[in-house]
Amino acid sequence: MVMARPKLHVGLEIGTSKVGFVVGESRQDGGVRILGIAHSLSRGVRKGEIVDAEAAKQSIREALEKVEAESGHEVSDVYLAVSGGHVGSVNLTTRVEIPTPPGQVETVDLEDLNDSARRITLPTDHALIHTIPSQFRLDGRVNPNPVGQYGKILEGDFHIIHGDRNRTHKAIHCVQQLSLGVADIVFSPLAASQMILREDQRQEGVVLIDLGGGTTDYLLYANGALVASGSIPLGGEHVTNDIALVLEMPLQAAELCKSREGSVYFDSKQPPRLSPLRDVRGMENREIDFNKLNEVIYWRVWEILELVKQKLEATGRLTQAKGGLVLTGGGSLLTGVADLASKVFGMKVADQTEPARGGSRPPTHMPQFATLIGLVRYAQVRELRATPKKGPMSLGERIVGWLGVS
Amino acid sequence: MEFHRKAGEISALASKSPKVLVAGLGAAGANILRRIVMDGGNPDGLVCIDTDLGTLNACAAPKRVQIGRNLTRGLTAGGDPDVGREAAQESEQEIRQTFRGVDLVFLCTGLGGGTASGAAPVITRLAREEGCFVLVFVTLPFHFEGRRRQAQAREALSQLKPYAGALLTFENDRMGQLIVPTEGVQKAFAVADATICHSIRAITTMLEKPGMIRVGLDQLLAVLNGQDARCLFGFGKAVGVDRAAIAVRSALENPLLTEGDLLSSASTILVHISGNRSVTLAEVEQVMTEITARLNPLTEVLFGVSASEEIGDELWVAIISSVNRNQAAPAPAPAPRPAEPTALPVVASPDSRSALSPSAPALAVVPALTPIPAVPPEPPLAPIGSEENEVPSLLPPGPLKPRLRAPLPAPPSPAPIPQKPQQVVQRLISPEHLDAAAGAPGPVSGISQHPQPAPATEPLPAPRPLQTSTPTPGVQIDYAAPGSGANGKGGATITLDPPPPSFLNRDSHPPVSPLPAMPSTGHATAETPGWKAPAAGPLAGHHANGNGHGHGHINGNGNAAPVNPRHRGRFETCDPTLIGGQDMDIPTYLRKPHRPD
Repeated sequence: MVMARPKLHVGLEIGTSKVGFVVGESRQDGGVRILGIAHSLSRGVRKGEIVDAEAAKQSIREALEKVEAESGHEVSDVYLAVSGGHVGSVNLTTRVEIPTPPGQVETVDLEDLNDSARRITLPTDHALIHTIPSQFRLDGRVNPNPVGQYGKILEGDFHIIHGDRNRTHKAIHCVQQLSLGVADIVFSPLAASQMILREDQRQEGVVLIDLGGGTTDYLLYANGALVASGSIPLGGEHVTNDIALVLEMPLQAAELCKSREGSVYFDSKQPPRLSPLRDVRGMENREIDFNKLNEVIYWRVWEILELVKQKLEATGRLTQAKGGLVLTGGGSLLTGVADLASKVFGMKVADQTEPARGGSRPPTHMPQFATLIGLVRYAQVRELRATPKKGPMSLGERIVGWLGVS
Repeated sequence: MEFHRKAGEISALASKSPKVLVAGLGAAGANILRRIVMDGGNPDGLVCIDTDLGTLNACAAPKRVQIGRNLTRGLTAGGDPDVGREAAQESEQEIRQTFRGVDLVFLCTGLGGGTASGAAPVITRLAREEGCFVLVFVTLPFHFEGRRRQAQAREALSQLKPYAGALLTFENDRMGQLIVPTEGVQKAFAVADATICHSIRAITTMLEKPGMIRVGLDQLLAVLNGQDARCLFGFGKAVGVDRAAIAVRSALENPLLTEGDLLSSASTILVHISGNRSVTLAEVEQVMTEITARLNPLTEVLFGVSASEEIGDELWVAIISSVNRNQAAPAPAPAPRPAEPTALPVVASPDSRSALSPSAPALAVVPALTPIPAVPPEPPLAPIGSEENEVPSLLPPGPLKPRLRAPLPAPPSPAPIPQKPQQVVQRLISPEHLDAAAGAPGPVSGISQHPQPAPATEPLPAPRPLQTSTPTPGVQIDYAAPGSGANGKGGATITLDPPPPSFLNRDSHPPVSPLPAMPSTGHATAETPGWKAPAAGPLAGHHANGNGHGHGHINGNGNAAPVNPRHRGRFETCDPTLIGGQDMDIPTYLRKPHRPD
């Protein structure tokens, strides 16, 4: 008898500030156990997109070696997180008529719904990343699993996430050139949401904002369904760059200033606090106007949040997020960012100390790894649906299964 | 204008400091060169080309090339372009020799005459064959110079087009508006020369001085590109406390910009600011604000700043753009216009009658410049915090304190984003799920888009010629821009007036002050630039006449600023991110208005 090996899931995020791998395994109780998580400095990635493939591959290689060493497993296939300003989304509803006889909904009908949704025409050079059903309705009534039920008209609301084909392929090719397979691509915040958002939050309606290094990604859930998503190609690297340019210092020093001393609070009425960066080479005798530093940070973060807000308002659904905002990503560690977000949106910011799903290291303590860890969970859910006995599951089953993953 | 240089060559050129040669062809060209030298430009980069020995000997440029020695024997071409052309052909080797090893050539000449009209196309072609990139500056004859010269000029223009990397035409008529007729023809020509001279210097400074904010050749060409485009050019310089305001207004009043109206039909403009170390960020912002107030919000602005120690205390502002000929308003037909005081170096006189050649009665009067509609003086930046009924918000001057305050009222939401025209889809990595071929929906299903209120959130294409491949999200983020409309006043909202300068360009750099003019140490308030409203009075006192130091060296590093030498920082090699017309890679801190504290 073959011992069932716990299924391994590997996630890869080629981010702008870091490239991260995570290796996890599914636990009996449905949780995930992280076997290894490693990252390397990202090179060749800007605003969430690969601009220098060779440099990016080098970064990936470094992280790969680290995680294989740490987890003790060799990586073969990965779930790849994608993001970038090119990612867009659209909601649509598809409809099928249930043929009579038998008048019963079958999985093939769900597949038809899904196929129709996926035939949506997308912007030039874009391709699908996700087709996420958010709700099914049979004869107008909401029905989470209509298979087997009787009715005439079956409708499905879908949230389609799409991205620029070339950019995404670039990332996929980089991975493939390292002899890794790409099992699937995942829009980054969707992965993060797996670990961060609880079901009750999704039901209540919530906005998840992932403040990353190269991009700021967002998701909006209303009534349990994903109804809006997107990515803005601005992030922590812009904050750092702003600091470097306005305060006239090298990027590395700017990064240190930001992470060590930066906050969004500044008070121009007070005399600036001056404090040297003694341990940074070249900056030993440099005094920093921290008021200005924080003001620079403030403005950029404000702008980013404001942009997200405007995009969400354009969907008309922002008010449905009664559960408020959830912040994640490295940027959420910035002092005062929750305050700022709360003001920009006029919504409360949820306190995410309790992890959404059991079993992992609380990802909230490492918000910069939320996406990575979420990838494992995403992989797990996706593959769990394929019950070993039945073999590859039908698209219809997967579709229903997606309801739990969206 | 067409670009025959391959894209790769252009970028190679833009990446290093190019070897530049300014070539003046014909009498007009020689005058321009003389003007350059008089203004303090470096004579080493100049070369004078002509058939006429007299012109050559009088020319200020040390390098001279006599063409058509055998043909004309040192005399002029006599107004015959054929002679000019043959002269150039005769001296082909010498011309090639002149341009060998040069990267960038500014060829200036006045079309209409013999040498210029005939030789210019040949010389341009030869320079190109030697591997140079040629920017051709030509003047087109005054109306009163007669029909033949005009025809010859036009013919020469069409012959130049295939070879010129960029072709900037300056219509003398238009430039002549600067001059009061009593000043005479010579003065009219002189001013025309000066305009070209300034434009050349602005461009060379832009391209050569590493400066804090560099504009590359490819960007410049993008601005100048266009079939049959007409060049818009405005130039102003000033000294003193209000020099920024004065210089920019002077630039905007240049008739080549048609009093600022034409600017709104340009899709891209280039603004270049030159100054020495004393240039402050505040001044730069002031200039940009003033300019963008005149612009169509869709216009992209390329922006460059150079440090030029040589020009002393002057601040130079150059505005360059082009519009398509059919789009631009025609040069105003000469008509009597009341002369009014202008802000220009030449003072208008009340007498609007012309003493010019009676053989051109059409030009009875050279119209004097009408002043630009007064821009009401206002503080360059409306403090956001000064809106009366603004909710106590997170915006300064109140600093963002840790105590929570009332949430902001929701600003008006932007219009729903329309869907883009679309195409069939492919699953990205599972080819077996390709639905690519099928365009039509399946037999049993219908597709209905969600009705409002859930419009799609997807990238909206921005209608810009220089759009990067990143589709821009279709939201506006508007900052209070001074004086440019007041949709934000009274609203306690963050969405305010049209966006401030949009810095679209590949190598655009934020207008970082090069120097510690900004208080970076010690002092209490963050920014208290000299932000008083510029005095709206007559722009007197800016009659800069080149008594500052000239343009100076083509090389030379006037920039000693301690800015990160990779000017755009991390985004040096990136396509800019454009949202609402702004280059978001520029620090928000620099784009948002300052508030006086």
